[in-house]
Parts: sequence; structure tokens; C-alpha cells
Amino acid sequence: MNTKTICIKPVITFIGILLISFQLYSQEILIETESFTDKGGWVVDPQFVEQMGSPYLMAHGIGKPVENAKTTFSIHKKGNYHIWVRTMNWAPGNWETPGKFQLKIENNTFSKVLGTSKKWDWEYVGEYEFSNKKTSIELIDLTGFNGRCDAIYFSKNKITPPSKSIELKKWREKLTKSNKPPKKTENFDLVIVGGGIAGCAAAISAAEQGLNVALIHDRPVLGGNASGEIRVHTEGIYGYFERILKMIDTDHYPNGSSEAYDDDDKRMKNIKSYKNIHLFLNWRAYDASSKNNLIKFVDAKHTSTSERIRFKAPLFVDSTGDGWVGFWSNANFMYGRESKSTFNEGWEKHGELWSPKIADNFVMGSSVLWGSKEMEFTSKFPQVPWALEVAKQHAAANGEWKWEFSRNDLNQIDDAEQIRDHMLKAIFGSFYNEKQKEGNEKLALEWVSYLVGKRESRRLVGDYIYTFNDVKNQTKFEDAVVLEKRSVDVHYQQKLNNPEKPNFLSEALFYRTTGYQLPYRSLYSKNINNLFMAGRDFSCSHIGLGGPRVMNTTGQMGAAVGYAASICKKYNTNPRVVYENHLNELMKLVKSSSKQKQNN
Amino acid sequence: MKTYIFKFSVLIIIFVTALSSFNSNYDPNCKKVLELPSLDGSFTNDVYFCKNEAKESFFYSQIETSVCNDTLCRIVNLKVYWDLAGNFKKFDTIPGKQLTKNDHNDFTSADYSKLHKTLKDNYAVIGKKHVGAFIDNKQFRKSNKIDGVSGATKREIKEEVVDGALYSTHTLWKLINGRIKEQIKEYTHTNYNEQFEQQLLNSENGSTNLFVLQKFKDEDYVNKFNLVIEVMKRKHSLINFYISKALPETIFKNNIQKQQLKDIWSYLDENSKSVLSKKLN
Ligand SMILES: Cc1cc2nc3c(=O)[nH]c(=O)nc-3n(C[C@H](O)[C@H](O)[C@H](O)COP(=O)(O)OP(=O)(O)OC[C@H]3O[C@@H](n4cnc5c(N)ncnc54)[C@H](O)[C@@H]3O)c2cc1C
Repeated sequence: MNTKTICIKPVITFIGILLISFQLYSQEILIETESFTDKGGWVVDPQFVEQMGSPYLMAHGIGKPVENAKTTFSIHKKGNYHIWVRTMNWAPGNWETPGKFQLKIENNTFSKVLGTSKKWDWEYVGEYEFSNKKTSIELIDLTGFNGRCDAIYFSKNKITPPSKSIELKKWREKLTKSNKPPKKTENFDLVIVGGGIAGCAAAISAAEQGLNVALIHDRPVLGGNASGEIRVHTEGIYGYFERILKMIDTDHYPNGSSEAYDDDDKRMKNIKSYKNIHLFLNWRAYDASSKNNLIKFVDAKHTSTSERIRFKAPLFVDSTGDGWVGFWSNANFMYGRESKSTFNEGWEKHGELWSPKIADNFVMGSSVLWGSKEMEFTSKFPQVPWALEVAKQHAAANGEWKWEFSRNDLNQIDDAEQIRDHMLKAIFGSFYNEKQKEGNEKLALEWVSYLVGKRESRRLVGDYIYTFNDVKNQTKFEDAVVLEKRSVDVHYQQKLNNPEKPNFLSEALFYRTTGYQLPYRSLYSKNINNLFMAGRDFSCSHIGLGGPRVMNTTGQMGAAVGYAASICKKYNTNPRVVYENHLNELMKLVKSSSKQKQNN
Repeated sequence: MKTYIFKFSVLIIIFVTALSSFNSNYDPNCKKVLELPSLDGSFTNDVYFCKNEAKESFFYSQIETSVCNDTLCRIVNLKVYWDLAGNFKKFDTIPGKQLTKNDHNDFTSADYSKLHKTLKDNYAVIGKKHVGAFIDNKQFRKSNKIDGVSGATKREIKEEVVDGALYSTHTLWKLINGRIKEQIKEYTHTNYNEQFEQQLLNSENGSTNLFVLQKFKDEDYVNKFNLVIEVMKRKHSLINFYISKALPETIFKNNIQKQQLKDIWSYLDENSKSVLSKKLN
């Protein structure tokens, strides 16, 4: 543990207790589980806040029950309380619920087994007579298979809290007094949301040019898909930004390898070496507001303490992958596969798999990487009937990029939790099948990510929409800030073509090329005048994303945008005017990137 | 005397060969329409189109091609058939020219089935890369035989390749699923008629169905809806998804046609259902 974490822990605990104490004067108390002071083996999952309402605790024990999560709190009014937990059975069906848990208050464990409702909802636990003001609570995981608990609610009245998302949101905001703007405001030259490779690169180039930068990232480590939490290696060339990208990229380890941790350390050390990059780790942006086509602020919340900050700046970068800042601020965006005639991107050879005649939402899917290894001793893996529903007969000992799920009716953002859970079923089921084979007695799951690695969702619309034709025609741009040589590859679900295949495997179609360029004009919003985008949410068509979505390329986008932001600051202007009036200066800065030095 | 007998037998062989090749090519319903050069250009094979009013029309070629590794080449012969959409249908071996593996053993019937399955797969991994990419260098044993890389083919294509026939499979796949497909499609397109359409729609091959569906206008879906339903019953996800998106609004205003769609619900995949259920409700 580093010294910073040691200092931060008591602060977080204090804020947690403070927030809980807020409500204690009333006869009802809401405890957000992510604020538990000791999370035991449970993990905080903030990936689906926009859909289910809050970060939650999840018992991701890959088949072994995890240590209890614990916290203490004070009751203002002693007496009898009814108790509910908000939870969900993520694999309902004709079998034992996979993610079961129990609640313990002080020394009493409630007999009610929790985690059984078919969708996110409140489950009634029972009643409890509080005789002490200071009391403790624990979550006891029973299975190790992803039981989840969002919040615990105590009330003197037996009235179940609201289920529907809008009412629940209002109820929650009222109870936690978060229906008003954040009290704290911070000002920066540039606010970057999303600390994947694109966000990190933007932070570095802007900071090197002297900008005061906020980098808001909802995870404890930087890197997005390249981090040790997801473990995808960075691909693509460095373009003009080798020096910067080498500070944050990865080695070419196999996807899913724990070698990713070394690169996490390198990346974190390098980012932290910039005094003017203000790092907000475990902070998730949840709103942005625009007026007259200008973003005024981005609001973010700590994923454990629920503390909130309003971030103000003249310029913003959306490097969230999902285009959240753009979405909240009403930036134009695209989602889905455009029809082949929209941008004239058809490729006869691959027909419908490449670009459909009629547009649809069958985008490239999301993945969960995983792996197993031979242990010294025989190890057991429990039966997982709920997983075989998806895995069927498929057997595997490791995942790879092909473990990917997309369906026309599932949105890669709105249905991300369902997609992640589908992949978990695919993994646990396939591993179970593998374990049944002779000789695999010592095989054990080593690592299964619980973060869903995405490839494609919202693409914000810029002044230029990058398409397949720019690759095919090798379009030359005067504002070419990103260079790439990588093939365009577009994925489809194997099952589409072959009914015998499971529905969680994909295949790639490649268009080989000798090189292409991306223009600066596809890196800022068409209608929101102070918004840059860098990463897979840049301005492109579905097929246009096929090549440049890899992380050295998205890193190049980030670095370019950071430089452009410095020019915006210098002339007190916006991204479009940089293209119109200061392009030479931008290109000079971009092209001399390797020669510049870290100046602080 | 010896030379005389030798000369005589050579003459007979030439005569028999000529006769047999004449027989195989001589079919009044077939005509040469295209040429298929081997990958290295050493052979040019004629491609015939055979029109049959009663049965199915098809294309075929008696392929002769070299199959080479880095140092050696040998000749492989096979009679190959394509359907009207350029999709591989089947092959016949040529008497006396059975396919062999690196150990000189003939292909077994299981080997032929495996080869058939791979050649039929438009997206077989074997066709994606240069053959060298499928050789596991760690296990590579030098061999003086073509396809002499037994046990050294990479795991990713083990399901597709007959053990000891990597080079043959690769060459045949490339040849059969290469440019010729587009040329056949083009030929069919130019000579398109009602009978072709029926045949294309009746095919069990989804890509073949798609070839004709792509030509459909809204009114074709309405007028030939029963045929479209038959296609959908074949459970090909890609095709059903395509049809689900393409069905015009008129279909959803007609209660009988709506019911027909509901009746085949169990044949459909999630993607098609997602599109149709919106339109049906
Ligand atoms: C299985 C798989 C294999 C792949 N293979 C490769 C490969 O081999 N090489 C390669 O280079 N690329 C590969 N890709 C593609 C590549 O990883 C993605 O396209 C790439 O991560 C996009 O980068 P990004 O910076 O836009 O997004 P991300 O890497 O997703 O980073 C965005 C970050 O922003 C954070 N964030 C999102 N919303 C908020 C918010 N509201 N507040 C705060 N933070 C937020 C997210 O947690 C995330 O970490 C692969 C992808 C997958 C899923």
C-alpha cells in the first residue's frame, strides 16, 4: 500500500460515517454499500450507475465465498426497524440462485437468504431492535458467484422503498440530500473525463504545455481497457507521439495476462510526475450541463463515499469511451451500424457482415477476459447450471478477444450489466465443462475480470466523420494529427454464420492497408463548442472505427487534443477556431511532440 | 517389337483419355463460360455452366492444380461444383486421382467429409492467411513431402484441416472460394430469370438465399411471402435478420402474413425477433 492510500483510507471512513450520520435523526436510514469501511472480499462496481442507479458491492469470488464486508454506523433513535436490501439475482431460472448472501447486524445473522429478485429491487430482510446507538453490519457472501447488494434501508415503518428508476432516484436523492448541486467546485484549464489511454495522453500533452488539468477516472487504476483490471495490450503505431505514448502503453503480452500490472505502475508513476495533472481516481462523472452550446461544468461523484464535486473549465475532453460528457451536454452522436449506403462503405466480399443494407444496432460487442492455470493440488469447481444455459457444451480454459457479446436488441451502454453477466455465465459454464475433462483435476480459475471491456458504443459527431473510404482512398488531410497502419477490423458474432457456435464468440474481418490518417476535425464536437473527444467515441462511422479504435491510436487522439487545448487557451478560443485559424501552429506542435520535454 | 507394343499402348492410352475427357465435357446442357487459373498460374481450368430445366442448374470445373510447399509441388485433381450464387456445392474425385496425404495414404471418407465441410465454409480460418501462418514453428519437422507438416498445424485450424493435408486444403479453399465466386455471381446476375430465382431461394445455403434477397424490392417480399417464410424456417440467423429488417410495412398490415410470422417464431434467433417484435406490436 502506498502512503497516499494510507492517508486517504481514514478520510474516506470519516466521510462515510458522516454521510450515514446525516440521516440518523430521521426514522429511516439508507446505507450505500459502496461506502462500507471494510469491503472484505467484495468489490465496488460502478459500471452501471446510469442504468441501475448506484455503485454496488459485488462478491466476485470466482466460485469461492468472499470475506464479509463490514461497516459501523450510529442510530439516533433506538428501537425496532424494518430492513430491506436492494439486490438482484443475475441468473434467474430453475436452479439455485448463484449470488446469494445474508445480512448480519451486530452478532445476529438474519436467516433470510438474499439476492433472489429477478431484477434490481428491494428484498425485505426482517426486523431488528436496535438497543445500541453505535452498531455494526456485515454482508455474508454464501456462494462466491457475484451476489450483489446496492444499499440497505432501515425504517420504523414497513413501507417498501420505490422500485421504478425515476422514483427511486428522487427518493434516494432526498434521503442522501444529493438533489442539490455539489457544494464543492473546482476550476481547471481542461477537464478530462475517462482515464483510458486516450484520456491519459490528453492529460500529458496538455500538462506539458502548462495547462492545469483535471483527469477524472472512475477506477483506482488508469489505462481503461489496457489496465490490469481488463488486460488488453495496446496496439497500433505511435504516430507523432512516441515519447508520450511510451509513458502509458503496454508490452505486447497476451490479452488477459497479469503482466498488465507492471504497465499500470509505469503509467501511474508517469502521470503522477506531472504536478499540474490533478488526478481524481475513483471519481465518476454523472452529469454535464451545456448552455448556448458550451459545457459549463461536469459533476462527479466519488464511487465509494458519494462525495461530489463540480468541475468547471473552458474546455472539456470526453474520453469515457461511451461518450458520456457529450451525451449529457446534448452533443450529436451516432450509435449502431449505418447502412452501407449512408457513407458508401459496403464491401461485397463480406456483405451483410461488414456493412448492412439496412442500418441496425448490431455493433461490435463487449468482452470479459479471463484465465485459468494448473495448480499444485486438485481443485474443485462447483456445479453451475445457471451458467450452462449460456455456455451449453462449450469448454475452455482461457478467454481471448473472441469472447465477445453483441445482440441487436442489447445496447452496449444501457444493457451493459446484462452483457457482462452473459459473459460471466459463458466463462463459468465453459470452465466447468473444461474441468470435467480427464487430466484437468488441478486446473483452477486464476482470474476473471468483472469489468466489461467495450469496443463500440456512442460516437460523437465532429466537424468531420471519419469513414472506411478515408482508409480505402488513403485520404490526405491537412490536419492529419493521427497516423495509423493497422488493418481495419470489424467483428461479428460467429453464431450469425454458424448456428453450431455459442452466442458469446466473435470473429474479425480484416481490410489490410498500408496506412491512413485521421483529421483533427474528427476530434471535437460539431455542436458543442468546447468539447473535444478522444478514444473510441471520436467522430467516425461504425466501419470507420474498425481501424483506429486500438489504444495507441486512441492515445494519439488524446495527445493531439491536449495540444489543441493549449492553443485554445493561448488564444482564448475554441477547438474549431484552432482548425480555422491556428492549424499551422497545431501541426507544428504535434510534429515536434517527440522533441519536447516534460517541463515540470 | 517391344517399341512397337509400347507405341501402341501409348496410342491407346491417348485415345482412351481423349474419349473420357470428351465424355465428361460433352453434355449438351453444359457450356464453357469461365476460366479458373490455378493459384500459381500453371494451369487453366474451364468452368462450365449446366442448365437443366427439370433439375438444378449449376457450374462445374474439373480442376487441375499444383499444390506447393517451399520446395516441392504436386498435382491435385478434383471435380468441383458451384451453385448459381457461386457458393461451393460439392466435389467428386476423379477416378485414379484420389487425394492423398503427406504419408501418401489416400484420403479416407472421413477426410473427404472434413474437406467438404471446410470448403463449404466461406469464413473458414484456413482461407484467411498465408499458409505459413498455420504452421506451428515450434513443432515443425522438415519433410520431403508436400503437406509434410503433420502434427505441426496450429490448433486454430485443426478442426478445419485434414491431418497431413494442410497445403492441399489451403490451395483448394483459395481456388474454390476465390475470385471465381464473384465471376459466377456476375454470370448469374447477367442471365437472371425466374427459374434461377426459384432455385436460389430453395437452396439450403443461406448465402445463396441472400444473393436473391438482395435483389428483392418491397413488392417481391409481399408477392413471394410464402417462399420467404420457407427461407426463414431454415433458421439461418444472418438471413433471417436480414429479412426481418427488410420486410416492408405492408406485411405488418396484413393479419394473415403477421400470423405466418408468429407461427415461425420458434425458428428465429434473438436478433431477428428483436426487429420483428417491434414491427408486429
Ligand atoms: C477484448 C478486447 C480486445 C481488444 N483488443 C485490443 C488490442 O489488442 N489492442 C488495442 O489496442 N485495442 C484493443 N481493443 C480495443 C480497445 O481496447 C478499445 O477500443 C479502447 O479501450 C478504447 O479506448 P478508450 O480510451 O476510448 O476507452 P477505455 O479504454 O474504455 O477508457 C475509458 C475509461 O473511462 C472510464 N469512464 C467511463 N465513463 C466514465 C465516467 N462517467 N467518469 C469517469 N470515468 C469514466 C472507464 O472506466 C474507462 O476506463 C480491444 C477491446 C476489447 C474489449
